[in-house]
Amino acid sequence: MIKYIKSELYRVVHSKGVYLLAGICLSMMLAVNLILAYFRGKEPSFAYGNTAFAFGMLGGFMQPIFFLTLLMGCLIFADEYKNKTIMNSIAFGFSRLTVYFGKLAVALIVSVTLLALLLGIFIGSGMLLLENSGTEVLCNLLKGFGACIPIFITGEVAAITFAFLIGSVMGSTWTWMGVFVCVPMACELLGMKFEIFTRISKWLAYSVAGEGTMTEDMGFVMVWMSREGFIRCILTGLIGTAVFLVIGVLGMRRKELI
Amino acid sequence: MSEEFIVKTVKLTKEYGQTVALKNADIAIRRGSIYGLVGNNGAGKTTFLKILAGQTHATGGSFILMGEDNEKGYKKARKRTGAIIENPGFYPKLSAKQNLEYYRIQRGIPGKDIVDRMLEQVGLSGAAKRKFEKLSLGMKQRLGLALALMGEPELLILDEPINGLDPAGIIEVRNFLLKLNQEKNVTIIISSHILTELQNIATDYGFLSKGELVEQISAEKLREKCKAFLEIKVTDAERYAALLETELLCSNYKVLPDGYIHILERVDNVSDYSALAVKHGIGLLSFEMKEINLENYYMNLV
Repeated sequence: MIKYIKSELYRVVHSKGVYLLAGICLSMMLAVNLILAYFRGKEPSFAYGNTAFAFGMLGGFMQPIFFLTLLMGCLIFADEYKNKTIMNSIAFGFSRLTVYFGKLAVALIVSVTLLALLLGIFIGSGMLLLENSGTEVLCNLLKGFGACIPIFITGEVAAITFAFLIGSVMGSTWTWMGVFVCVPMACELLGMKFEIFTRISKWLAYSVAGEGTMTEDMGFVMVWMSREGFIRCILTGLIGTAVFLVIGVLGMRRKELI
Repeated sequence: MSEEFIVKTVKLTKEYGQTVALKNADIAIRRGSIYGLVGNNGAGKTTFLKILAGQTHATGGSFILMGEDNEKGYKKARKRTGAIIENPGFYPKLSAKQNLEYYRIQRGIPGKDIVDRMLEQVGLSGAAKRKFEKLSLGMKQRLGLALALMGEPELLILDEPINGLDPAGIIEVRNFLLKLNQEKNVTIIISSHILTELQNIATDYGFLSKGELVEQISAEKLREKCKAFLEIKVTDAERYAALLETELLCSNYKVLPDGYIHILERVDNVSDYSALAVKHGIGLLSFEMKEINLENYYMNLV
């Protein structure tokens, strides 16, 4: 497994995909802080040129960030069936499960590294360029990511699992979208008529990542700000990850390579 | 391990739904041999190779691979195996060298320089930095060979390895495989549509048709079976056949329709056969020395 992970890391380091994704994310995150800093410099009374706004905005962006797990999953899967590269690994004595778990491990290693790097740069540039609103907003942002990481892991495990079991990037992308976007939307709609669906949707990864309430004093408050919400985020992520891992393991065991 | 057979299957079967790709195949491949798999499309060659390489699971029967007879053991055995099945698979955006380096790391083969050596061995040093997607079909095939050979395997599984190679490339690969087999005692299982190529290197053959093993034979025995024969066409085949037995004491012959006779013994003494016809006033319509090649042999089998 270690050898497989090492080889995959070599491939990732020598491919453009992850650099491109990182570059786009970094540009967008830096652009936010730069634009806010620009307006702050131009208009001293500009209300949003502070870390409270910048960090709060990123904290409310967990759903779009969740989509990145799909992208990362596809990048790491690297069209193994189309390229027939998985055939070589199997022919050289690696089990299907080693390949599956190896890819998952690499996806997680790369994602966590990338997240730490991007978050570090975003927070660092925010602190440098914007008015510092105190440590509480920073803690909230970190708490938000802490709560959502298990959900992101669910998204990534699902992306890799679907890619391995379905085979094509397109097919697995649509399946992922169906499971993580369409099902929660359907549940929310049905929830208007049947209460049970509202309760179900509160445990679905995509819904939880974007869940929040509008308050008079604090504005939009994300779900993880409360203790109950934080625990629900963690549990949703853990349960989701376990479900997709079981599907992946069962499916990969007898997977035919054609 | 020094078992006589590196691969031995017992009633190996693979079914894809209602389609039987391999049926009760009992294949035995001697250690140190070059085993030529002969069969038309859909005969079960690739399925057999895929089962050995772990890419598909048998639905019936069993097999022993390098003395191992269970999934855990197969994985160990496969670490000492090199394989190219169907088209060689590589990452299109990585260069030839990076692709080999990727698999070197994966297989835990020590020494980075092995990648350059392998590229040189298959004549790809000049294209080492070229992306895989930019390589020609022949180059891709060579890179596949380099991958299969990396790490000094004991068993090589090659499915159509000379596809896309030019004649010079074919000869080069052939000599390379022969050298590998003779000098390092590497067992090679090779399937190819180019039967003349197989005839040049194989020491054993397995003939597959519609998923069944029709015959398994050593190259030596096959050569005996395929030896040259004399095809004669005469005006009176019955009489000529009788004379063959009484005057030339020849018993190994076959009378065919339309006056054709195939003589399978003492074919070196062709003048005796023509003289016999002349002596008894039998018209000699045609007289030709023929040889059974692998293709004819396979076609006769199926």
